[in-house]
Amino acid sequence: MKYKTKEGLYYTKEHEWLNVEDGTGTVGLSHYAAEELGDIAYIELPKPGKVTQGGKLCEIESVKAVSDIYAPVSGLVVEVNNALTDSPELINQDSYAAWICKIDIEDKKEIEKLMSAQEYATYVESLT
Amino acid sequence: MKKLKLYDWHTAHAKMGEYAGWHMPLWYSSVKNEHLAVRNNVGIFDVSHMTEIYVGGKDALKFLQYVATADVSIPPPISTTYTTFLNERGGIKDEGLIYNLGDKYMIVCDAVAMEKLYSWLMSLKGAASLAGDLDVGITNKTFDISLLSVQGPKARAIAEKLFSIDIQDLWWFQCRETEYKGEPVLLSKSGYTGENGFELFVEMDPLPLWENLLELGAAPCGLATRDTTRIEAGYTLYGHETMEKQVLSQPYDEYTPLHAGFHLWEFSPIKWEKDFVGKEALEIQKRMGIDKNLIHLEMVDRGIPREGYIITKAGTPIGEVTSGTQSVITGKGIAIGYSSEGKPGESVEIIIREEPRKATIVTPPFYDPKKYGAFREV
Repeated sequence: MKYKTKEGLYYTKEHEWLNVEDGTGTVGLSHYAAEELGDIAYIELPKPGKVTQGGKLCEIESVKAVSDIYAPVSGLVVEVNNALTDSPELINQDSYAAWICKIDIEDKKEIEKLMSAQEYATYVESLT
Repeated sequence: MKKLKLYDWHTAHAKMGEYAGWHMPLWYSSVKNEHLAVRNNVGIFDVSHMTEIYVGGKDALKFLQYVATADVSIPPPISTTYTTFLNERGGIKDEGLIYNLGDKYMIVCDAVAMEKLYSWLMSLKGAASLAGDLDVGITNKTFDISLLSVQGPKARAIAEKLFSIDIQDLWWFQCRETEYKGEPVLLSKSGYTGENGFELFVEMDPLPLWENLLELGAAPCGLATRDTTRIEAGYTLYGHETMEKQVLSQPYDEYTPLHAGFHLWEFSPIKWEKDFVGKEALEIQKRMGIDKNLIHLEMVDRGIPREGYIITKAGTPIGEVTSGTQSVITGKGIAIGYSSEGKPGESVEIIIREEPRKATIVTPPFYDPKKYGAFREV
């Protein structure tokens, strides 16, 4: 199976994506992550407040299991996508449209530690 | 890792995963689609990882009556009996079905405890407690036999078409010997989803039969759907609701059939009028009192209960979840577990992410039995 990646986004090894506009990063899950999880049944959205790069952001549940979602960058969670509370399956439908939260980025240098879409595609290929 | 005979087909069509040392298909399209196919139409599961053990010989019945808790002497046409196998402490070694095949018996259990159950039977065969040499032959047939499970309201039409058998004429658990393209097939009216359906035991290459079932409109369903449908039906699974403790912290600290409430069933798998391994322990337990009971829980608050989550009542811990998921039919979080108190209709809490969330103790199944399941009103 060919997993979709999106040019211009930054990716983590834990399969989150980050879209940076000005000082705000929008966070979501990659297509690969959504496919691996299967039917997403529930998401516990992040609580507003401080998160650290690589630290736990929130939890997501498929029918089968609970998984952690990690913060791609440090900063303040300023907005969450409440639509996912009632319709977590939006992540399965299009994980690049179904964003999870927005983070006010603390240190832009942290972005350098993330992968480009192309690097991530190679990384995913190495996993499958 | 062990492979099913249809391994190549599954890897080409499914997301694969490991279960009990087997490469298994987890899902083909999605759990939701497959689950709904079983409830509304018909789905097929390749559950050839299940354990099959033949017990033959002149003393097979005598032996099984001793190692199994149920009365397996019931003659055909009700030729299959649900039973548990216990250790001397009353702990559950395994649970499953015993088929009376006429010239021999076939034990069918989940895959998790295959090696354990087989060696347990072998050790009991030589046990002094069974005075005298028994004429019993025990053969592990797990790797020869494929098991395909056809489940759902439209399963009946498929049995009719392929085997000219109307499963409505069969008792639940009754079997028929039939054939497919000249090869022997054992058809059993049984399943693990709560739906009407049948299961096919075959030794031939199962691919032509599998593909034929697909052509007839059955949706391939993976292990994930097997779990969501069995939890929704309220069925127990070895390794979760039934289990054997390896380390004992106190006497009778086992999960016994009495904890699971099996002795209260109309057709109970506990036959008190015979001798069987573990009976003494169960009698003692019965006298001393049963300290926990199997319960079924439906979430009132949001959240999905999972194995190991703590059940509380007004803040006091009373038990633990052993299986949990989200019901595809109701959308609610559902669970099976053990607790020291609580009856259907009562409110409890399940601790999810350190927060108590409201749940109600209910009577299974978790779906409306008038609308879904084998006893739905058509």
